[in-house]
Order: sequence, then structure tokens, then C-alpha cells
Amino acid sequence: MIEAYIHVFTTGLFWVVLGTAVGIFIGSIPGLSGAMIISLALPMTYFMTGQDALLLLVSMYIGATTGGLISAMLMKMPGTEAAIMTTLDGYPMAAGGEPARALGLGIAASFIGGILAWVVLAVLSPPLSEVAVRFGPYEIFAMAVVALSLIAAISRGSLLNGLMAAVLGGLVSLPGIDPISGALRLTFGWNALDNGFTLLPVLLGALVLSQLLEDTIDPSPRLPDRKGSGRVAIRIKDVMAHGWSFLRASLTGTWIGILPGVGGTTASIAAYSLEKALSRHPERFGKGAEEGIIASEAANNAGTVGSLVPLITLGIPGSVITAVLLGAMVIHNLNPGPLLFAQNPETAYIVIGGALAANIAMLFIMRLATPLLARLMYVRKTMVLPPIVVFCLIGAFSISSRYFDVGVMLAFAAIGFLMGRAKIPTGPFIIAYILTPMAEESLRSGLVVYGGSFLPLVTRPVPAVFLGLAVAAILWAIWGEWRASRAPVKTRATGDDSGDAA
Amino acid sequence: MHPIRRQQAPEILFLILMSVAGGASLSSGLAMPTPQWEVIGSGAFPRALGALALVLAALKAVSVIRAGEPAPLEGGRGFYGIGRVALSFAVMSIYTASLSWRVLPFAATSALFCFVFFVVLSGERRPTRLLLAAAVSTGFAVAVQLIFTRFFYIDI
Repeated sequence: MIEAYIHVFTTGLFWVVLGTAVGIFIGSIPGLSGAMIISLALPMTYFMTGQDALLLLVSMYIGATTGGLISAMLMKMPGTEAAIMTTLDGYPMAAGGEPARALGLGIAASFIGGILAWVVLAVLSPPLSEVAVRFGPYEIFAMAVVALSLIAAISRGSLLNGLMAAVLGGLVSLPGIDPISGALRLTFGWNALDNGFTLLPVLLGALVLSQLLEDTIDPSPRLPDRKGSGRVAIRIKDVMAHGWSFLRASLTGTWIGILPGVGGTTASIAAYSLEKALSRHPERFGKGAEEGIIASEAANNAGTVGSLVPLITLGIPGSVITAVLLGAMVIHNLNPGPLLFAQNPETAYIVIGGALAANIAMLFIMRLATPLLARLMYVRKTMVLPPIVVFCLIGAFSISSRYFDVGVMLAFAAIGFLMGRAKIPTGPFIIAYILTPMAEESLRSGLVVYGGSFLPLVTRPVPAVFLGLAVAAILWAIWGEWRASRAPVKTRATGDDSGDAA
Repeated sequence: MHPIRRQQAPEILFLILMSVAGGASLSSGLAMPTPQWEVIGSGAFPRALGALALVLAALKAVSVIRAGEPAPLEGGRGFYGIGRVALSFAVMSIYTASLSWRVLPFAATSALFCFVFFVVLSGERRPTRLLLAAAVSTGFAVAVQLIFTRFFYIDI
């Protein structure tokens, strides 16, 4: 183990820094994803040793996850899907004249989330994976329902709009090949829809290009004068003031990242929703709340590191990117699987050490680059928007080399723009789009496993607890709406619209 | 058109979208065969979400039509600026169509797009600025094509 760490922090450090920097750069550009750069970098690792290849790819993974916060905060366009929730509070804070503070909070949250998850990775990998793989289909379904029910929590003030957005998101996720039976559904005879609406074009369209269309109306808005020195400060007092938020979000992200097939995006959604539900001032969310930024960024980075747990302990990839990492291990004859720790422990410790080094490198790189990055807030959008469109097009096209996906992206750009103008929040739309397939597949799998019985949903402890939380969240949101509707009209007119921000 | 209705035009359009999507999903789900080996089949979620979409759209339609509804929040944008948005969307669509039909190589099409989009957004008319924009657009497009075709092997 010691030799592995020495290698990471000496001869391997070049690859860590390079990978992290490239990952941050690619992750910050809407349209280019971490999955893309890691997949494209894989062939380039053939000439490297297996351990250095893993260091490079893991560092790219962590860098890309963090890089997404840059465009999310400065342009309201998440660079990666994991930064979706960061736009909700990061952009309002940056646009309000505090881009350096927003970035500083995001970087601190990313670092702390990554480090706390690393502690879990280093200390608790084997026992945690044992628990995680005991999560059956009903447990996964119940967890998806909890996350979906939190849509109600984040849509307070416009519950009907939030539900409509969520249902639309669920509908969009359905076309294509049914995951259980393999039958085609909702394709209406259109072969191009056999694979459904792929994730990246939908996200690029609904979140990035829809915002870009809005920006075209006034591409050079007068922004508030910059507040503060502009120097990014990662302040101890911020960490102390929001210590519980950092801890909750990091642990939420780590645990969700460990669950195979769930991912950093779901982690940031769950952490953000939880933080808003627990906050004494939920009305501040969506308007630049520090806790919103902390929750999203700590959770997505923690989820990124957490997803390495099933990879190195059981050889189970939990996401596209970890699947590529698994492929890299196979290519370099590193024997991934349950016996990795026993037969090839230095490889496992290289991954663990690499996660630590990459988080530290991310902190330094972002800290150095952010004063310059913060100025991007004030760059004329007339110069920035055209290249973003080009990158988005390439990103959408690169998935399957089809212009159909680019067309899907444009269609969802129009839909996302319409939703914004109709004050329908896009957050629930994206959350439901991502979670509905997971919920459906796990429910139907569970019914097959348990002989068509729904009873284990309430008799097994984990699903029972999660479903109880889901019901409580929905009832609490409905109660909040009822209370708001009985408030005096004057209060309503100037009241909470944080649901719209989501 | 009544001012409030104009501001509600996006909501009305969204309701139409919800209704169409919900109706299509419900009808498609109902047309799917009865599951042989499952309690709920592949048509269950389309039926459920389709029906829910129609119900929610109906509830929202009622709230939009009701005379007693509060006026849209101050600053509700309706279709403010829609002309510029439509023009930008048209430029992006033409760019995509040109690439898919391979009218010109990627670099040429992208350079032209970047230049035209810049002019649309900025309204710039000064010849020196336009020349500079054309040069930057061309350089950017060529660099992107080289990087993504030679380095990343994406067949754009």
C-alpha cells in the first residue's frame, strides 16, 4: 500500500495533474462530457503502464466532475450532468456580483466531498460493497421513489408546475426498447427512436441550449458590479458555518455513488433536495443559497469517488465512466473483480491513492485558475455563445454519429425554452427523466423476483423506510401548498418562487 | 389579445404539449399487449404517466382559465424577444441541416455559422470588426475540426 501511494505522489503525479487539468477543462465546456474524454483517452493509454493509465483516467473523471461547476455557475449551463443542481444556486450567486465566492464555495465543497468519500473508499470499501450489492430491486425502486418524491419538496410554491415537469420528464424517458421485455414502445414506427431519447442530447437541449436561446435576447446584459476582491477564497469560516451541510451532502453522495448504476447526478439531486427540505430558510434555495451550492458539489464529487468502491472491490461498474475504467483495467491485464484486493492489491491502492491525489490537484488547479475563470462572467456572450453551440452539436453527434441526436437536442432546446417561459421548472423534468427508467426497471424486476407480490415493498425494512419517507415528503409538500394558498393574497404575490428556479 | 392571455401563451402551449404527449403515451400503452409473464407489463408506465399527464394538464388548464387567478408575476415574459430567439433557433437549425446534408465541409459550415451567429447576436456592422470575427470564426472552426477528427476520431 505504501509503495502505491509513493508512486502516486512521485512518478505518477504528472499523470494525476495532467488528467485532472484536462478533465476540468473538458468538464467546463457544455457539450463535452467526462465520459467522452475518458473514452477517447483510453486508446492513448496503450503505451502507458496500467497503473499510470488508471491514474490518468481516474484523475480525468474527478476533474471533469468538478469542471462542470464552472459553466454551471458562470453561464447557467452545466458542463456535465452532475452539475445540473449547481446551476440553481451557483448562477444566481455569480450573476449577483459574486462569481469568485460562488466558485470558491463550489471548489471547497467539491474538495471536501471528494476527501470524505476518499476516507470511506480507503477505509470501508469491502464491507460497504457487501451491503450495497444486497440492495435488491425493491430497495433500488424505493430509493428512486424517495428521490422522485423530493421533487415535491423542491417544487414548493409551484407544486403543480413541478409535477407537470416531472411527468413530462418521465414520459420522455419511456420511448425505445423496454428494458424488461425488449419490446419496442412509444416509437410510433420511427426506427430512429428505437434507442429512445439519449441522455446527453436531452440535457444539452433542455438545460444548455434553452438557456442559450434565452441569452440571445440580451447577450450583453448589464451585470451587477463585482463584489469583493474577486480573489477566490476558500474560507474556514464557510466550512465551519455550513459544516453539517458539507457532511450530510458528502455522506449522501458517497453512499449513492457506491450503489451501482445510480451515479453522481442522482447524488447531487438527492443531496440538494435533502438540504432544502432540512433548511430553515428553504425560500433562499434557487436564489444563491450557499447550502445549495455546497450540497450539489459535495455530493457529486463524493458520488464520483464513491462509485470507485464497487469498481475496485467487486469489479462492478456503476456508470459509463466506471465501465470505461473497468475496460482500462482489462486492457492492461489488471484483473478487475472481487479478488483484486487479494491478487493485485497495488492496483486497488493506486486507484484509491489516485482519487486522493486528484482531489488535491483539483483544489490547487481550480484555486489558481478561478480568478481568471471568474472573469468569464463578464465576457461578452456574443463571443462565447457560437462556440458553445458548436461544442454541443459535436457532443450530441459523437454519441452515435447520428444527426438525429442533434435534432433531438434542438427539439429539447425549444421545449426547455418554452418551459422557462411558462415558469415550468426544468429541475424536476431532468430528475424524473433520469430516475423513471430506474424506478420502472427495478419495480418490474422486483415483481418478477418476488413472484408478482408488492408486499416486500412494505415488509422489507429498507423499502418500507424509504417509501415512508417518500409519502411524508409528498404530504409535507401538499400541506405547504395548502398553507400557502390560504395565505393573504398580498403575501402570495411576493412569496416564495424557489420552485420556479428548480 | 388580452395582455394577460398573451403572457399566458407559453403556459397554454405547454399544456398542449403535455396533452399531446400524455395522450400519445396513454393510447400507445393501451395498445400494448397484455403481459404474459409479468404482473405489470411494458404498457403500465406509459399508461400511468400518460393518464397523469392528462389529469395534470386539465388541472393546470382550469387554473389558467379561471378569472380569479393572480396576474402573472411582474416580469412574466410571455413571448418577449421571441423574434430574436426564433432567428437564433433558425440559424442553429440551418447549421445542423447543412452539416447533415454535407453541403460544405465541417470547418467551412461551422465558420460560417459562428460568423453569422455572432452578427445576429451583436448586430455588428463595422467592417474591421466583421473581418476580425470572420478570421476568428474560421480559425476556431478549423482548429475544432482538426482536434476532433485527427485526435479524437469523431467523423464530423
